Amino acid sequence: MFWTATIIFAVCYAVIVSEKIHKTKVAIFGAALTLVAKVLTQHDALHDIDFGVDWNVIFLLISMMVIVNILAKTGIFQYVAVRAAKLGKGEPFTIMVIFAALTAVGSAFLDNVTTVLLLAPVTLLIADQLDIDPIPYLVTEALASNIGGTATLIGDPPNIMIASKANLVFMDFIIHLAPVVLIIMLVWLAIWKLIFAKRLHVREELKAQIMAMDERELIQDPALLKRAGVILTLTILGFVLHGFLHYEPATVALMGAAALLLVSGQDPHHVLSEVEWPTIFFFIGLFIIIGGVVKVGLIEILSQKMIAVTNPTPQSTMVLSMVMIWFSGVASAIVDNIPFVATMNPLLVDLADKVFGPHSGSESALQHAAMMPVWWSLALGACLGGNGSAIGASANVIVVGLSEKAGHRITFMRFVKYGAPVMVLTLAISMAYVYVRYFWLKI
Amino acid sequence: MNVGKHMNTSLTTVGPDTAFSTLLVKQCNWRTRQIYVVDQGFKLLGIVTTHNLLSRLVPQYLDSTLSKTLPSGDSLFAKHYRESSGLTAKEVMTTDFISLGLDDVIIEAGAIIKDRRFNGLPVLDEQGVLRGDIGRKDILRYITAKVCGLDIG
Repeated sequence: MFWTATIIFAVCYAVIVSEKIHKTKVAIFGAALTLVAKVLTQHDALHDIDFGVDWNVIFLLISMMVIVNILAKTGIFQYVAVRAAKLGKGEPFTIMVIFAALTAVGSAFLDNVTTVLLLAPVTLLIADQLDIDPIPYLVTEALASNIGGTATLIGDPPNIMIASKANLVFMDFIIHLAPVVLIIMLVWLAIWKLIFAKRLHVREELKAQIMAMDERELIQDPALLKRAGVILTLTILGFVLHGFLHYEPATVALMGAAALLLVSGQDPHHVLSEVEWPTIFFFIGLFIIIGGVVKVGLIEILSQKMIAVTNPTPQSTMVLSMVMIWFSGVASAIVDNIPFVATMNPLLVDLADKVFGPHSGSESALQHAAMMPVWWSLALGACLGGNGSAIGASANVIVVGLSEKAGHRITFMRFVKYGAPVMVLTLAISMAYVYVRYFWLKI
Repeated sequence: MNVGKHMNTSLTTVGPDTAFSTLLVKQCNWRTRQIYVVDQGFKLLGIVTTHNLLSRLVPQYLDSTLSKTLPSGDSLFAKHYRESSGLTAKEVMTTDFISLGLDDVIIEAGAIIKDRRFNGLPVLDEQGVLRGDIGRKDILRYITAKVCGLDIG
């Protein structure tokens, strides 16, 4: 059974990385094989907390997709983007910074892909109006979405998975990751200023074209916007308080999605059809495949090897944390960070049990003071590593596709030229942050 | 009834190196349904439709809502015309067209046009040489006059 599960896992992983077959097909097929080969029983796959599908992740993702789909129909993102461009008085670099900040904030609370999808058309229009190359803007937004998404529990799927596995709450992410994301944004945009500020200059009459735009036309349904705004605010408040109220994040998101669906007047058939079901089933398949290798002991072997290499102790996990940032970062630039984190999660649970815990999966082991920097390092590496290449994150792939469709081809190497240095910079800042905060100041 | 008997034989044809501006002017002629791009042997290489030309002049990313923010789109049209002016017919044309043979029946043309929303379909002979085309109006005229027996003047 050990080799059956290991071969299913290795082959599926290789095919997903190769992108020869759609990843959802591979994950579902691998999951079916795992069940047919009796590596896992169906009961294990659907109900077991250690080997089965993490329904908290699944329902959080579905609910957030519903919220975002309804919110996107209000036109608020495009309204804010055009308003921001006008606030920047049509200055190209100011607009770049404002759009980066807007994307980062949007991605922290919503899905990265939706954020860039909503902002890209406005970006292309503004670049067209200013007669400048839109590619630096679009790539900046992709990078900002991956950085901003790192800041919160709901910002990026790896964080959702880590939170669910390690029983972390929304405010844990705000307290531990939002500060470093803020530092990263400031440093990154300061460097961006050195590179782009002098390069981007346009004539005054072109700036006037931006100022003449009428953003009010973008609010398509003001009544829906008001209702959606109230419910989104309450949902975010729910996320902030979910640990205190003892609700899972998925419960908060499900309540928000249900309330929004109820008051929006939207056809549920239409809204639910826009949920990214291939992504949802990719997660489900992946959880089952990885549940198989957890059950047969492969993950335990890998965890023992990681312990041997990094030598974590209840007193310090410094080497493990530093290795985790760079290993996760580089791996996430090359392969999809979702299967990567799905594999690392059970590995770290096993490692935590061996080093810190009295019993399997105990919260005291998973949230041991020395274990926390490892979780944060995994989140930082997996989210920020996505900036390293054009295929490192879904937002990058979307931006490259949209840009090409609009007649501005972003080659793989051109993306790497912008993205790889940003990835190295952000991982270096993360490393310094983790070291200073958790191993030097110990706060 | 066969399409060969009811097709239009007065076509607008150009070579593959025809300039973008020439295509615009030709397509603006009210008698032109679509422009057929042919080689020297009159074999069909592709079709340039109004949609092909407009999609080069109206930015791809612009939807109906976003377009409302603009007081006037003329500067955008002008910019995209400048950017497209170096293109030729072979870069603008659609190559995955559906064609009919001279002996195909009109109802087949009607079904294809209804399903795919084409303006018209080229009609080729067995050697692939362009012989004519049949459009929505041709089919409607045929049904109205020949099948329904109504006087269409």
